[in-house]
This record gives sequence, structure tokens and C-alpha cells, in this order.
Amino acid sequence: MSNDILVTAVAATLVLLTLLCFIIFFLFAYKNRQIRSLLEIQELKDKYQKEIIVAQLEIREQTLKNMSEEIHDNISQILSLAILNLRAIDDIGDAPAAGKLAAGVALVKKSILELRFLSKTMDHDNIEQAGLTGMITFELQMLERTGKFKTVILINGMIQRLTNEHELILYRIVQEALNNVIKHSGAKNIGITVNYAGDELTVIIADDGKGFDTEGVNPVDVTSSGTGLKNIRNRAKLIGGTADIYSAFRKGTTVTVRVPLF
Amino acid sequence: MQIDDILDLGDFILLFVAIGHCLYRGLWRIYYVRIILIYLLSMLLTYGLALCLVKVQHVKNNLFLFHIFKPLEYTLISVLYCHILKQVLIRRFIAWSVPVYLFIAVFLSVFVQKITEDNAYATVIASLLIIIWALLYFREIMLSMEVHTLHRFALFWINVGILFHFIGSLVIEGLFDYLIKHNMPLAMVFSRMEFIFDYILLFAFITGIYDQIRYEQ
Repeated sequence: MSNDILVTAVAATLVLLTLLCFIIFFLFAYKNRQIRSLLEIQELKDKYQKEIIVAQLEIREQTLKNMSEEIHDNISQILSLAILNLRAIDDIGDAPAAGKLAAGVALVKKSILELRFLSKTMDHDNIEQAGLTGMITFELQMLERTGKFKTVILINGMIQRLTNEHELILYRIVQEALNNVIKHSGAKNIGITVNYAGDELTVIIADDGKGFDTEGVNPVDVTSSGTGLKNIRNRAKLIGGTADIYSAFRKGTTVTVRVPLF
Repeated sequence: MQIDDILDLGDFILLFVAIGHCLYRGLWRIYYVRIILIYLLSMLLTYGLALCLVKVQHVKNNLFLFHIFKPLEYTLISVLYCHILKQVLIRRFIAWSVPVYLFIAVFLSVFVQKITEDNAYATVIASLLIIIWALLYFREIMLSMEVHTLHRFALFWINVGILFHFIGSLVIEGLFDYLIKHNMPLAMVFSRMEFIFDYILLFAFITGIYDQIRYEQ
């Protein structure tokens, strides 16, 4: 009798152990699958987000190119025509108006020059020719010409060309950062450092403006400057890089973009 | 008190606890809880009557009760899986299996294993089918990934209970007739093992219904 009970107890224990193993195995398998599924969803979301950013960039670049061509081919031609007409008036020989006409011609010429510069920064084909550092230098020269900013650019290491897409995205990041400086910072000095070190390219955009509280900026609010910062981060992420923004009240702002070179 | 009496008592206690859980705060209004409640009540009635017949009326053979209970049990569990499984084809298959099984069970009771004998064949067929439904439900849970915390999901525990109970039933009923003839001591062990599988089923039901109560709160 006691032997019967013992055998029953052993059999029952075995059954219960099997049950326990089954439950544990199933729960673990389910959890694993759940984690894998969540990772896949996150991956899909990231991919989708990337595709949206790429599409946005492509649309933006095409728009800028169209505008650049329009400025170069149409508005510049109209202004050149205006200069010719103004010179024709000058040839009539009205002495009192001559000074004003000369000033007018000079202003129109300056407008043509500014528009050509602007057209150059807009067209992504120029980055293929001038390269990233060339375009950043050009951008800073344009800022200098306004007379509101003093700029400096430092290039460390041997310049290496990235792919056109990567250089264009980096250039747009620099433009976005400079745009923020112009609009919000009230800075007088702007410095850009481009470091080619090992397998990493670092671009640092610094200003001596009023700065801001990086925690207080809402990246979702499209009306705030947070959108610009979010764009900078998203674009850096798109080319496998990172963007860090350091700022404090009255201590200026530093945007550091790190991108792998290979 | 004999060991079998203690095991019977344990069975009844667990049955009452499980029924109490189903009746708690009107939980029986949920469709699948209602099916489980009917199943538990039919279990209670069958086991109670079987015990009464043997202990009070001193009837030597109460097996006819299980010829009625098994088809009822299969029907109720099939209705449960028809309700909880989502794939239409499988649901349709389960629904069609009920009349087919009822026909086979009646046929077996009339012609093969009469009502005075143990209805092992009908039990084995029912167990096999129910094991398949339970595994299909596990597959569906695994593929759909709709359950956030599986160990707090009532139907997971209910399904675990059903799966283990009927795996036990399949093995025990499948070998019982053979063991009675060839190895009586082992047959006795197997008959007691049936209680263990009953306990597993009832424990799993209690856990599942308790999870449902927590979910409702």
C-alpha cells in the first residue's frame, strides 16, 4: 500500500515538473517572441522615418534647385536688362540725375551678385564642385558680407571627400545651424571647426549669442526653434552620425556633428 | 479514511472553489466563464452522483454516468474553443467535429464498449481532439502576439489546464484496460494519477478565473 502511494507520488511529481517546465518554456518563448516583435516594429518605424526624411530632403533639394535656377536664369537676366536700361538713361546726359543713376546701377549690380551667391548656396550641384569645406567657407563669407557677423573657419586634418549625399546633408545641417544663429542668437561671432580625424569627421558650429535652455525646447512644436534642432539630429542620424547641442543662457551655443568617414 | 477518499475530497473541494470563482461578482456573464461554469457543474454532478451510487446506494457499476459525461464534456470544451479561437476554418472544423464525435460516442457505447464498461475509446478520441484544439490555441496566442502579459491572461491558464488534463486522460485511458489485465498495481497508480490531472485542470481553472477577476477589477 505504502509502495503504491510512493509510486503515485513520484508519478505525480514527474507530471507536475513536466507541467512546470512546459509553462516556463512557453512563457519564455512568448516573451522572446514579444521582444523580437517589438524590435522589428521599432526597426520598421525607424526605416519608415528615414524614408520620410529622405523624401523630404529630396523634395527640398529639388525645390531649392528650381529656385536657384530661376534666380540665376530669370531674375539675374531681368536685373542685367535693368542695368542696360539705366545705362541708356545715363547716355542721354542728364547731369543732375547721373549720380543717382550710378548709385542705382551699383545697387542693381550688388543685387545680381547677392542673388548669384544665394543661387549658389541653394543648388546642390555646387557642393560636388566646391566640396563641403568650400561651401561652408562660402556660406561664412556671405554672412561676413552682411556686416553683422565676424566669422572664422578652422580646418584640421587632411580634407577627405565624402559621398555627395553625405556632404550635402552635412552642408544643410551647417546651414540650419547658421540659420538658427541668425534668427535667434543675437551673436556677433561665429566659428566653424571642421576636423578630419581618423575615421570620423567632426563639424563644430559655435556662436557667442544669448544661448537657450536645451531642456526647455519642445522638439514637437513646429513653431519653435526646436524643429530646427530636431532636423539637425534627424539629418545627422540619416548619415549614420550624431548631433549634440550644448547651450546655456548668455554662454552661446555649440552644435557638434560627428559623422563616420568610411 | 482511505487514500482514494482523500483524493475524492480534494477533487470536490477544488470543484467548489472553482465554481465559487466563476460565480464571483457575476463573472459568469462572460461567455467563456459561463461555459466553464457549466462544465464544472456537470463535473460536480457526475462525480457526486458516481460517489453517491457507490457509497450510499452500493451500486457496483457507475460507469454509465461517464458514457453521458464524456460527450457532454467534449461538446462544452469544443464550444469553448469555437468561442476563443479566431481562425474561421478551425472554428468550423471544431463545430463540425461535435456532431461527428457525438455519433461516434453513441455508436461506441451501444456497440463496442457498452455502458457497463469503461468508455476508453470515446475518451481517447475526445482527448486527442481536445489536445489538438489546445495546441492550436497556443499557436494562435504565439502568432497573434496580442496578449501583453501572458502569465496574467486567464485563457492561457485555462488552456494549460485543459491540455495537461487531456494528455493525462489520453495516456491513462489508453493504457488502463491493458494494465487492468496485465499489471493491476500499476493500474491502481494510473487510476490515482487521474486525480492528479483533475487537480491540474481545476487549479488551472481557478488561476485563470482569478486572473479574470483581477482583470475585471
